[in-house]
Amino acid sequence: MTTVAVEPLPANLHAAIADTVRLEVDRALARRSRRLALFVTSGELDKIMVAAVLAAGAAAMDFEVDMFFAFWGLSAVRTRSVFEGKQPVDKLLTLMLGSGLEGLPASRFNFMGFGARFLQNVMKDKSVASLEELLAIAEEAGVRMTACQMSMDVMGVTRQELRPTVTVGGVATFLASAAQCGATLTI
Amino acid sequence: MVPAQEYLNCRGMACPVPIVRVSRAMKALSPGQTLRVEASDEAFPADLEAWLLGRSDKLLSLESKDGLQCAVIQKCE
Repeated sequence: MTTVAVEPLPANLHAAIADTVRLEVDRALARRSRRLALFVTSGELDKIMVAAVLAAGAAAMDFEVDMFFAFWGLSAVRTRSVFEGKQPVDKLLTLMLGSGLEGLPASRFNFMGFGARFLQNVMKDKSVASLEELLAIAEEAGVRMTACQMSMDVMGVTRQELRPTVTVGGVATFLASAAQCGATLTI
Repeated sequence: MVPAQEYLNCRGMACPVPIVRVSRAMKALSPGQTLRVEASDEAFPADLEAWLLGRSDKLLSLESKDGLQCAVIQKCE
């Protein structure tokens, strides 16, 4: 019969475990508080502008940022319109979505687009970065952009109309991210 | 005015660009180096203090005069 020497447990084992657990919990909470999920369903210039400012600002604060685009919000990540190969309904929707950021309407006093152009000029005069600049800053900083597949199907949007960095996802993609984020905003 | 090694001009820039540029400039610094930032955005001092929360970087000075906000930050760790 052999005897196995067992090292005695340190007296402060419980305290050491508690400290480790506390440290890990603190780290997890800190990570969570520095994550932001933005759910963009608006297709208007000023509202997408808000989303882009938040994304660029959060990235500057080293937040991990996830942006999701659904329905009219897809306008924020569309760069062009493709009509070929689409059903008449989808062609109509493509026309309604317009192409790129230049044609986005203002949420108030749009007046057939004149309001939006006015707003763009005012922002330029007041040295506010353009929507494209802000989205590019966000993109460059690693902000993840996901387009909702169901919305793309409904709105007749195809992958080649979106910014190249945009990935396609579904409700679970958003929820899995939102569950990890300290802040989730819908715009 | 605290002397600083690097300078960042954010005059005439609106939110969120000053903070974006501070973030980029700080990434390029080595620990111990200092950055002086000048901005005309009135929210800049509040934004800078919020940006510094939870970071080890230090705000060495922050002054505001004639509508110009001037801050000196030191990169730490």
